[in-house]
Amino acid sequence: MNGILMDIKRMAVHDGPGLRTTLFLKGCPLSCIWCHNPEGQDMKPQIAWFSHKCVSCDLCTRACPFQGARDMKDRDKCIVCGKCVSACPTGARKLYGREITPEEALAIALEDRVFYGTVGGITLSGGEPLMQPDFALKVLEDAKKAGITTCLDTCGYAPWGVFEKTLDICDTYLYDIKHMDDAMHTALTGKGNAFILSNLKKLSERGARIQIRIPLIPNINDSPEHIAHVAKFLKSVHPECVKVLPYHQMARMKYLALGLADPLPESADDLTKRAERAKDQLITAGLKAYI
Amino acid sequence: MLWNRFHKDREFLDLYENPNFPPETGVIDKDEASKAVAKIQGRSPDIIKAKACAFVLEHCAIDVNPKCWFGVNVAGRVPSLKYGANNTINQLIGKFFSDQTKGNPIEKTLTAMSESYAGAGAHFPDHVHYVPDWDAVLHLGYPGLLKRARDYRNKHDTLTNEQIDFYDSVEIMLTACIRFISRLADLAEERIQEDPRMPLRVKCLRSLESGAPKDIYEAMQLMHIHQFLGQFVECAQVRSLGDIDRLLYPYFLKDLYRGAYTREQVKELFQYFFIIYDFQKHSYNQPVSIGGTDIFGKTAFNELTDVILDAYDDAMLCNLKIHVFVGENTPDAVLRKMMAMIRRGYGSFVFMNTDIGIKAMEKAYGIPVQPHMLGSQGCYNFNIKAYPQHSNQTRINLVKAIELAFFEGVDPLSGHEIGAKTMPVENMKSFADFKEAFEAQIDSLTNQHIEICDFYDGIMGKVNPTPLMSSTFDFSMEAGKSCFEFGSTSVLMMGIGTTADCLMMVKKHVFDQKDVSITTLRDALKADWQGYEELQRMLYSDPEKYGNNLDEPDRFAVELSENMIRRVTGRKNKRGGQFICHFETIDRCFRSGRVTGATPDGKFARKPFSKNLNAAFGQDRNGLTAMILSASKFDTTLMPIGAPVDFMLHPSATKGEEGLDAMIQILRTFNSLGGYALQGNVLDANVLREAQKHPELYKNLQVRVSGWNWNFVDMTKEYQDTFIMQAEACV
Repeated sequence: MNGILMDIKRMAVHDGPGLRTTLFLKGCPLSCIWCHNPEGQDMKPQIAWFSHKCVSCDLCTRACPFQGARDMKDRDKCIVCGKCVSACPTGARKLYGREITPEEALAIALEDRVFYGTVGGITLSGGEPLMQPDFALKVLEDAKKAGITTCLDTCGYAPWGVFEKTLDICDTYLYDIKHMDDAMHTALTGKGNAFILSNLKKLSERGARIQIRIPLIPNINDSPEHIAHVAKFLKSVHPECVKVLPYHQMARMKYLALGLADPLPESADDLTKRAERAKDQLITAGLKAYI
Repeated sequence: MLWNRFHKDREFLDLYENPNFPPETGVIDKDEASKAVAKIQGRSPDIIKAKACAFVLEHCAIDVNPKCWFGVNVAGRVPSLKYGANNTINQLIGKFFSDQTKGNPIEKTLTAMSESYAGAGAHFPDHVHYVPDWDAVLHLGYPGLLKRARDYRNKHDTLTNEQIDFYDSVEIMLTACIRFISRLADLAEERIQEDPRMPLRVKCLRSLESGAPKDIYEAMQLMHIHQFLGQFVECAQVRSLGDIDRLLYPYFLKDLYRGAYTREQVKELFQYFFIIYDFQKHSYNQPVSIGGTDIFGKTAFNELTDVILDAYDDAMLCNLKIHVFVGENTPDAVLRKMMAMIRRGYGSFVFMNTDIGIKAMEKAYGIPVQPHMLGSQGCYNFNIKAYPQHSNQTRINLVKAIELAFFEGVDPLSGHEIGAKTMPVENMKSFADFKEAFEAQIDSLTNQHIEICDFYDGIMGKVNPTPLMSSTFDFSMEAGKSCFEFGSTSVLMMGIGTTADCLMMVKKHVFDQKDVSITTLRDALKADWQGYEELQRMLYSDPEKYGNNLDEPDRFAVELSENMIRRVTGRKNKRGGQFICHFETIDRCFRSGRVTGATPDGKFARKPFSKNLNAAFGQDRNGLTAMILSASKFDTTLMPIGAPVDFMLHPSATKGEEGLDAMIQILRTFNSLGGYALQGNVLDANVLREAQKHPELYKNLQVRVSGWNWNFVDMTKEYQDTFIMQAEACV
């Protein structure tokens, strides 16, 4: 029941209530074109090479069993042993994905326990944390037993049966809404939205505490018509709040570092204005929205 | 118009950089004043110094700025500290000091332990750090202080010559101060037509000439005059304006009730009051404190605290640092206000944990300490108000002891032999051997620094007599001795994080894993890693460093602190007090870093070492929470004088209301874990880089250097680069 951990963020302020430790799990059923955590899509561990941090010391190459580590031109040969990452003195190489036991995951979260107060705790994010359901459920369950609050940052694409099991062990759901049109959703993320919206409805019906997140992508899902559609739906699921996430392209470097094609959509000059407009529209619709 | 003028007047408020003394008011020429002062004769330094100050106050030209509520000036004062201080009174202090040291055998140790010689530390006779008893100043005024001094003198049946000189010096000094206020009032009267506020200034100065202040404006004027005279005429640094929201609160309430001033008017008064300290350009900022707990055990944050914070916020000042006394009863709302200011990039706050302050003071001084008795001093140091204070005579560079252990007591950069002759590294067979050499070097450095402290403590009253500062203290006036002849002696420990890392790396890579021989490591250090780049990278990138909440490296740091406390704290000093070990670097992590060689943690020669209780720069890889958890392993109740932790957060981590919640939560947790003081910045490395390129666009961007803020654009590139590196690490 071990999990594949992608990354850890301590002192996370925007991943649920209070101060939290966020564990990012690897693997995601969606492949959103604006994904800002591309290292979270594939369940398998990956090595990234951030060329701007590289000082060409070649310690990685010497550590690599195939002697080809430095510029990662021949990724097919890479067995993701991580030796080049350990050897790198500048942090130019990063291993995304390592096996971790639920006990280790809990221990990481508990390190900062004193900072949580009564509201902070652990957040499972990704990727999609419920792609590793057994592991995620175990960590949430253990965290609850340990007396810290739990959050799931989810795209919503998981079997209801899994969601149902989280109801008693997840305090807050950070739930993404990307597009209300099923065909558009499929085109943008690789999967339709019916499953996602239905899970959200059911969670709401079961009284879950839900915070909605809308990644606002210019000219893709930020039109007033679409936001009106989102607002109408959200009114029926009674979220605690709706957070508008303005678009950014900071992940571009990560795509490059992972040797992946960069699918990021075009940005716009007036991102803040667009986010403000969407937020205001949601507030006007009676939702508690913020950026 | 009397009010709503601060921002219009602002450009005319700098009396110090552009003085404008009316020639008819007295001696203007600096050299003429210095020559006159040099001719002053007297039985002892006390008398000579008091007469010299009196000459300046009674005969040098003066200024009262009509554009300001508070600004006063006198020619012949020492220049602002930023530009050095080498004339008038300071020439006397220099002479008194050289009389004591010339030909004294201590000279050799003073040289060996000086920063410029071999970087083993830094020292100076700290006859400058003190905080007046502000309650006495405000309740008595100068006439009342003079009367009290006479009363104390008359209580003695017999007086020694030293006591006679001391009381005489107080009499001369306070009389001169009162005369100075009269001269200011006369000049204000002459200028009464120049501004609508001048009649009020005249009234205020006339009132202070004859007694204690009667309203908040008079109280603030007296505080400013006292700070100005202490700092620039008497040449003692007034190291806090006191717990200003408590001191001035009764005046504030009274004035509001009787309609003398409105809240907004008091706010404006504070803007004029604070900006003077900005113009003084004190390199280490002018401290003041707020908050804490009152005599009834309730929070001492009050309506005046709010006014003060609003004034400070609106004026956007850099050169005033606010010690915020935080306890469990401190309201979130007031913390929120300050965190928001830090997040906006200015606001020089250090959050001091009063629970620790109380326990630490009780342990240090063996007396019961109530929360309202706590005061602060200097950068971020607790003290007990109106009680003998500490003087920081020396600072030990702990990292240097690592170097000396490698090179048998010889400093590798300068070639000077300053430490103990310890075992050559070739003979070291185990980590215990290295540790033994390190301990011997620490002993050697400590003993030399203690010797210096003893010397300085012995001459404190003779080098810079301070009758004005002393006149505020009952204990000083009762004994008939300068306040600087009382108090504890602090020895400051620098670079504890880097030193712990060095010990960790030597143990791990030389003796446990045998990755490198100790002789190779020594050669690499000597070569500043040239030809050993791979070794440097391995050591630098090793994550097992202090500040990441890891057991072993943190244990090295804690054990080192305990050993230093055992060596230093509790020893009797030469002033009837004791030695106290304290843990901060001020800005010496940069300055002493420049004279420190390469070290086994992978640090290059001449680069800064760790600051305060923090990890070495760039080594706190697990973030702020881990840094705080590491720092919480120290027993800060044994560090009464100071053990601050600095934070740097990226703006993204503090965004929104939840960002402010997080900052408050971090502070509360830090306090609950026993942290002593927390201070820091919210900075984006990209913004800092832009400011480096375009300083003209970022004039108000502040960063926290140590116990004080500096404008980023005024710093050297070396300092700027260190901040950029820190900011990059917290993305």
